[in-house]
Amino acid sequence: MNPHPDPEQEPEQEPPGGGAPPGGRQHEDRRDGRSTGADERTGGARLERVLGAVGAVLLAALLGFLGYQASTRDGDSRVLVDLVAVERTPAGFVTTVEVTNGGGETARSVQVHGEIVRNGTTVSQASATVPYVPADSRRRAVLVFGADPAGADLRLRAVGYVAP
Amino acid sequence: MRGPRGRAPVHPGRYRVLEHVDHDGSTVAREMPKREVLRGLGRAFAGAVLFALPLFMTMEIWFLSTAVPRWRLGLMAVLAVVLAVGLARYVGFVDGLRTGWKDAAVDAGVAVLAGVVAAAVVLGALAVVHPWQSWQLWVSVVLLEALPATVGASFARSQLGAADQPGRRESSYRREVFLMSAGAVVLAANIAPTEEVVLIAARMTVVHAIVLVALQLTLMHAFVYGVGFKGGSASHTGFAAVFVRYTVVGYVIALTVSAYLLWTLGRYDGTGFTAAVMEMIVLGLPASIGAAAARLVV
Repeated sequence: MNPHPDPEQEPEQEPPGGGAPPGGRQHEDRRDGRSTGADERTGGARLERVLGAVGAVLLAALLGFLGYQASTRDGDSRVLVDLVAVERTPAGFVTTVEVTNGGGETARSVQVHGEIVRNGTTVSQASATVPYVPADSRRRAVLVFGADPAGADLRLRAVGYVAP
Repeated sequence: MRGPRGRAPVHPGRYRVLEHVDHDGSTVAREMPKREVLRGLGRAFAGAVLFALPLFMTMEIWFLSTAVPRWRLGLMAVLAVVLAVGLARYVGFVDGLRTGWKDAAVDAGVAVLAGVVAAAVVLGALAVVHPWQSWQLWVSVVLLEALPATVGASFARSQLGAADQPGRRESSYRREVFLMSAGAVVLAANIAPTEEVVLIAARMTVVHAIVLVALQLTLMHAFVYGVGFKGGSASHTGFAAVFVRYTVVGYVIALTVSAYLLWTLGRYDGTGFTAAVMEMIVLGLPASIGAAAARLVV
């Protein structure tokens, strides 16, 4: 590769002696505030090569990852709902749940439904909608129950969602 | 008046002389007529409104701005200032000179001011924010919109010096890299908060993503090659060299900007790696086109 491939310098910005000074003093402004062409040239060329190489490696990694995913990734969404925390407030029992999608596709408009069942009868119900749960991702939702889930059977599940 | 190799100013009588001390102690004079200063401010304001207008009218930003963690919002504001200073230094030069740090800071200050004022005025007029009722929302929304508005203001201001002397533009690789980052930020910031990014990423398969990456690289390279190199001949730079040095580097910058914006807006919280990559590639479309087209705009 040409050691000085930067073609963009204006000829009139060359220092009077011409040519690149050997190393040092790169990128410094000259006394008149003008950067010297040769200084820009060597520094710019090195920067170009380093950034170009790093960029090529990253792009190759991205394409490699996508190719790997294309060959191995499974479809379908598998949405699970887990209890995170219950907080007693004047408005009710604020129950935070975590919606996890273990499948390979995004689940859209996930309807989360919760029921508190005591002695075989449902004492309270609540539901919420989560707009998007991407593949292998988690989102949080809040269900507000009128009864305390503690000591009762808390049934949480995703009752429906839209496939993307 | 402009150092040993300088030329005489065009209209000496009309100029107020701004002086700053260079790093080696010498004094560098830079002329700026008062009318030009006002024109620059107006231009910065217009640029801020122009480049951030889609974001001003995107409703996701109104509730995202209060949900974004405060430190991420602060980091975004700091980055807006850094970008504005960098643009002023490498792009907003006057008469082919690279701007000194002090002038660059002043230029960046004007750009930030124009960006924040533009965001506040437009969002107030659109009834999005009410400064007296909910100042937290007001500050949050304005801060979130400050990034594209400030960079837009910097873009518009940079036209001032360059327009006077077309063809005398400093064109270094660092300038190109900075310009590509700023272009990526402006276009991507306007799309990043929309729900469409998440929806499109959800609908795409990995094959779509690979095709999209190829499309983005092709478009970027067409821009880079079409615009060509300013101030020099590209005689000894072949396809591969230009592709790696400008297109690939610009594309990686664009994807980095995309990922940063999505992370700032909380799209990556609790999101799996593949979904995060897909969203980054989707937002990479405006980011890569912005990066490539920045050289056309400025």
